[in-house]
Amino acid sequence: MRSPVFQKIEFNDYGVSAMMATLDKVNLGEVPVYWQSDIGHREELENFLSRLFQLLDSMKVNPKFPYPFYIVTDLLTDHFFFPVVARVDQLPVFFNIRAQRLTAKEIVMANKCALVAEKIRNLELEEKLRLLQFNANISREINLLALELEAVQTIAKNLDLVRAEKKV
Amino acid sequence: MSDEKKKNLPKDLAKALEGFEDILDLIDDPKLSRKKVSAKDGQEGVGMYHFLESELGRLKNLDQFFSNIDLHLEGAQAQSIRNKLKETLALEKDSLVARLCHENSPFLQYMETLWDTVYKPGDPKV
Repeated sequence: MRSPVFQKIEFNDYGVSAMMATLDKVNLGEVPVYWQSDIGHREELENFLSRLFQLLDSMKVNPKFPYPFYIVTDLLTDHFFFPVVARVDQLPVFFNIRAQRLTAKEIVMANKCALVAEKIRNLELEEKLRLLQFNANISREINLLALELEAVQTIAKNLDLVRAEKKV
Repeated sequence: MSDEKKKNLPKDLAKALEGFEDILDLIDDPKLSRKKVSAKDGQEGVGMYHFLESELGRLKNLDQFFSNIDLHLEGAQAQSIRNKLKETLALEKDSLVARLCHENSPFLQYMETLWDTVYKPGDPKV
């Protein structure tokens, strides 16, 4: 039983088949992982990440839940699919625990974690996250419309006040 | 054997046992000695268990959060609110423009004053 602590992924080759072989060795979705980029050009990195996105998408692995797949690079500030940080020390401290052999008591707890994580993976996460994003966008739009309406109504109200003062 | 250190025994006892130190395990051999258990070692074990407990709590919260999202809702209520707001805003704007832009309205008078301060027909400066 592997404890859910950060695991570093290293790609020796950036070809699709070699990447797939590397990803197969890692328990993706069962432990938090990070890849420290050694690619020097932004375009090249974006191409690599789009290939990685396609692979993870085909494997039905979500890069955020239940366990994150972080990209460590200072060439990007964010990515539509992967969480990005600039340096390794910016990774969440929560998962940054030294991996060690588990005791019997810890194995029982780790098994429980694995069970709940498996349940989360089977929850149609993609669809639910898409719905959340849709609702977030619509709520933001409603907020902007409400602010604009309030401004227009305030102008109309002030006009009424000015007119009332003139009449008096 | 240079690292070996004899255990402290009373002089008379040490003399009596001379030659039998190895057999009686009276020599401290650092290679054979057990690793001392530090307080930190114990804490690491507790730390991992505590971490797994917190992790289980985090996963349960995530599970509860995602399980409560109903895919059939699709934000229908939010969409109707947005459409209603859009309609109301359009009506309010039309009404405001009608109030502000009629002939001799304060807004147009103000705009006229503003315009006249910067431009007058036949002004030699322009």
